Amino acid sequence: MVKTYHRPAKLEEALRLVADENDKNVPLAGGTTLALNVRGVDGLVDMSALGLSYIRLDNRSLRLGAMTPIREIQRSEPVRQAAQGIISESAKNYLTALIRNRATIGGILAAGNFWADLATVLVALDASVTIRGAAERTISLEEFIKNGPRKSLGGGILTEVVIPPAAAGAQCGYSRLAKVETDISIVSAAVCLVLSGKTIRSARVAVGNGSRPIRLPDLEKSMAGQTLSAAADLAARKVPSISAESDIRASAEYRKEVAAVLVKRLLI
Amino acid sequence: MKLNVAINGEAKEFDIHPKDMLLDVLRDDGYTGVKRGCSTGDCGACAIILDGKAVNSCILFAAQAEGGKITTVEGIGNPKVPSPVQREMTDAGGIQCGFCVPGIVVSATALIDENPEPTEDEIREALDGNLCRCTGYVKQIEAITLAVKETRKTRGARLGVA
Ligand SMILES: Cc1cc2nc3c(=O)[nH]c(=O)nc-3n(C[C@H](O)[C@H](O)[C@H](O)COP(=O)(O)OP(=O)(O)OC[C@H]3O[C@@H](n4cnc5c(N)ncnc54)[C@H](O)[C@@H]3O)c2cc1C
Ligand code: FES
Ligand code: FES
Repeated sequence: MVKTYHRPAKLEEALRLVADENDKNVPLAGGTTLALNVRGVDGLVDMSALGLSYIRLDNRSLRLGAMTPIREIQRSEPVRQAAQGIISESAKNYLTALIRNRATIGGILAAGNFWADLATVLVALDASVTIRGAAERTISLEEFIKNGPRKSLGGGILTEVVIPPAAAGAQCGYSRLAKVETDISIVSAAVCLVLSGKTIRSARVAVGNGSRPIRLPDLEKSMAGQTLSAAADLAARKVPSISAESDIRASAEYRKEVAAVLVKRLLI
Repeated sequence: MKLNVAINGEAKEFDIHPKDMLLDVLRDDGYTGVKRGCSTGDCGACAIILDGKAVNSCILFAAQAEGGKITTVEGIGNPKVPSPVQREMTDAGGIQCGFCVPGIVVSATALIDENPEPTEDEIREALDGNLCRCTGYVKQIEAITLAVKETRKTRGARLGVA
């Protein structure tokens, strides 16, 4: 049962509280998950005074403070300008405006909400996350997702998400399929391409299978040197081999097939 | 613990528990225009404006609002002096049972305060967390579009907000 509420002004203090062995204190971001379930939590460590809500353009990289609400990311001008607007567009598709005003980028990643289209887009854009525990570590978002939030965080606090600049001349696109606009996507896909004349020089492809983003490095490699229509044929053949699960929204088979269609349509 | 907030322009202090939700604190203090539909962040009936942003008060720890400026539907207008959004919601037929309406008025008001000339897409985006089981939304979006026109004339005349 929650007994105490802390609002530290320093990250070191927040880390100390979260690491406390006598009390089970947890970091509090937007609170939209914690408000619904605080079982086993003794203390809330409100991170709103830590100065972690910001969007900065730094050497063409975008730095998003972990406490930045999703709707601010969606509406930020530098974010709209980046990667043909796909970060902003995928942020807009995260649940509802009322939730986007509170839920934070750090909160959705720490809570393991990897079904979010924003996660698919961030993986396609090679984003990394910075975690502060006893020391500071930066790992790729792909690795964070693969190891899961609990292991990746190791009791620390996610402080920042960094999105590197896309390769010079890269063209990015994102697409989704959902039952209604505010529902979680059945599948999502994001592609970034660098073209050299009529052929692809390099590509990054990520597909959201309804649960989490999957990068397709084999497909990316095989697309190099191909025309867009040849790459679309490759996608149609290779994307259906992703893993996917069946749930109330769609069957695994449907997801695999439609994911291939989304990637194909992003190419041609 | 103590909670100090300004509600509709009035400074207030509450004794709260760290696990209290803002929705309960507001309703217990008489702000019953803030509705409880689901308690899980799904319906938007409990929407309030906190420091300029429309949020669900049912999934907000009251303590998170410390030092904040809160606007509830009561602070937006009343039957005698309705705000443009409230007037147009009535006139354009955006209200049937009315349960969702405080939340819709709050979301629309936060939008117009921030962006006085929203497009229809922007209105739809700002309202995507407000469920209405009666109207089908069309009349509500019409009403808000009319209110945008109306606010061109009356901007700044809202009650209770400095
Ligand atoms: C109506 C509604 C529908 C939803 N539907 C779904 C759904 O279908 N599926 C689903 O999976 N989720 C769903 N969610 C959950 C939603 O995705 C989360 O509410 C949101 O992503 C959490 O963000 P937050 O900033 O509010 O995090 P908080 O609630 O503040 O925190 C979430 C968790 O992450 C930890 N945390 C937060 N920030 C950090 C940080 N920087 N470093 C370390 N740890 C941190 C917290 O300790 C906590 O354990 C839904 C929520 C709502 C309200
Ligand atoms: S009561 Fe808060 S969203 Fe339904
Ligand atoms: S008017 Fe009845 S729920 Fe909207």
